[in-house]
Amino acid sequence: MDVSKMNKYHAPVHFSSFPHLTITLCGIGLLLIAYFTVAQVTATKASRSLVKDVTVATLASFFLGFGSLFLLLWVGIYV
Amino acid sequence: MKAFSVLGLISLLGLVSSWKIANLDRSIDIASQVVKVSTLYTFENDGTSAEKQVKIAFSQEEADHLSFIAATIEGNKGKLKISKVAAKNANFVEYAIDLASPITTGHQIKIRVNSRFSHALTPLPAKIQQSESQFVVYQGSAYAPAAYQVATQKTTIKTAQGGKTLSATNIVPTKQETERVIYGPYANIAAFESKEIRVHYENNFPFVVATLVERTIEVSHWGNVAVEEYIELVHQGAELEGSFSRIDYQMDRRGRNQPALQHFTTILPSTARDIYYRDEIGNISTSAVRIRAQSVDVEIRPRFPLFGGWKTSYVIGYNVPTEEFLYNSGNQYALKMKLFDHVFDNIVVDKLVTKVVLPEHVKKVKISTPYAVNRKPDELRPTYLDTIGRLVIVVEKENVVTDHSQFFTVSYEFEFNDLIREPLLASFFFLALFGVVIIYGRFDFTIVEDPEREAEERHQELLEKLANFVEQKQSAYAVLSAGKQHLTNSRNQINNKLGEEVEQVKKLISAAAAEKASELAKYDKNVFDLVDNYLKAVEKSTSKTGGADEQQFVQKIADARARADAILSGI
Repeated sequence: MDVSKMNKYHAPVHFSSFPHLTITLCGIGLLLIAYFTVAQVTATKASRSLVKDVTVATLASFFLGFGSLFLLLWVGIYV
Repeated sequence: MKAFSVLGLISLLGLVSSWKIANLDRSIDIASQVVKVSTLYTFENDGTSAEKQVKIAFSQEEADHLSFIAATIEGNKGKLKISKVAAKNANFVEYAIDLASPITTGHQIKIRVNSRFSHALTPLPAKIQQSESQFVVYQGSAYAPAAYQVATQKTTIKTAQGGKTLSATNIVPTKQETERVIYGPYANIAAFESKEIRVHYENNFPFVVATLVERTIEVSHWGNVAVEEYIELVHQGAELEGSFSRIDYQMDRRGRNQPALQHFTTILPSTARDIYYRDEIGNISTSAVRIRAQSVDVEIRPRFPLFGGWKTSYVIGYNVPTEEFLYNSGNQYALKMKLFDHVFDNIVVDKLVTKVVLPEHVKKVKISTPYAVNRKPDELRPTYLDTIGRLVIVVEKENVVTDHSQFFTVSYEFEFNDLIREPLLASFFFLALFGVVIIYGRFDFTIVEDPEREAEERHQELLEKLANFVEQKQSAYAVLSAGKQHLTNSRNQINNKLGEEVEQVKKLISAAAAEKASELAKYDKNVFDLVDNYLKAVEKSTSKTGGADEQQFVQKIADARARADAILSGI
């Protein structure tokens, strides 16, 4: 295909919103980590709930994954 | 008949040329380290049929240094196709230029050929002291090399500005002016004739050659194209003899005209940002960035001036947004960038290596370059958030000059899924960490089992659950009593209002209607009592949901409501 017929490529996220995304996503992720840690430390053998742990872990890792990607992009490591 | 067929055979073999050169005007610029030759040929078709191809020639010595060549029809911008062909004379190299349209017998065409030669000037003396100027020798031919007979020709050699010309070979007629030597005009010179000339002149341009330029272009679909260049420079002019004195250098009256590289300007694209520059031990040189309308200029002053024989190496890099260089249509992408970009004016690059780092999992990669390059085997480069590594396309080119700064295109296919895979990879990494913690928390590392403690824990757990239930019940009561309070308050308010309204009705309509209306309050009292009773019943027994009681209650409420409606409609 000819280049002249193609459109200019714009990134899915503009680089000016990297800082906001990083702080928001990583912030939520860290709060979830804190909740997860407290739950792990205080739980007794009888009170552990696998469903609750996995739900919190999945949510936290989703936020942290995207948050750390935008952190990389923000500091100039263009992955 | 026989002679005729021989003639035909000769013309078939191309031994009899059908062209002649009516006029040839050559100008040779030797003011810098690059020999820039611009020749205007006036070809005339002297044959019997229309021709589509003309040939130009270079001497063997010239051809060894030839770096760049381009041909255009004079006054026209479009480039003509030019290709090397077998030469008829061993001392010459021939190039064929394809004309856009055939030229008929007797017609002329003007073609301008621009050629660049590197490493064609020899310093003489080969070693100079710091205070001396650099002199170089240009060797060439007074007659322009040509594949056909040349009717008239003239050569103008432009030497460096403000420099002396020590000697120039005299081939009559020769005119020596300031900064210029003119050979010719010469009439009727046969094809493949040459007459050696030597011009010995002052040229204080620092002959700084980049022995290696490694240009890396890294494409990120998150909106960035990162460019980094590793450059090795060597001053290949007259070598510095004796010691170097910084004081003499600072006090030199020649100022910028010393044959040393003091500073240079690199021109970057106008959208360049995050520019960095460093050499082996960091950036301790002076550099400045100036933003112009069409470009970003980086002025670099290396930590020491580059004298003859000295060398340095450095890295320069910057980011540009994808908008300017990356194009897309569906899953088709095309990167259009310069294969070689500006380092400084009149640079000679011995070896250019351009690497294009594409995102992971690209398919159907195609590269198209404006001139022939050596495509090396593809490489894989694993970097951040990669699984198998990114595809690196490597192209090489030797003997590059400024004119090679042209655009090339790399087209490829890329899926959006592969872009979103990167953050998901990071997410899975974190999930794995959480998984380890979850599993670890479920292991029991106690050496001796302690049933008492376990029982205690279970007891504690149950107590906690009980406390939770009690808490819930209390809050339910709180909601209930708050609701009742609200009910009483609003009822009183509404009753008061109802009384007022009834008074109004009495005044405005009739006493009979008002009496009927006041019956509403009666039914309301019934309903209120019912609700009150129900609440009391509920409060009395929390265990009993009171199925029958509740139904009765709902029924009575509905009855009261129907009666109230009947009264309202009766009024």
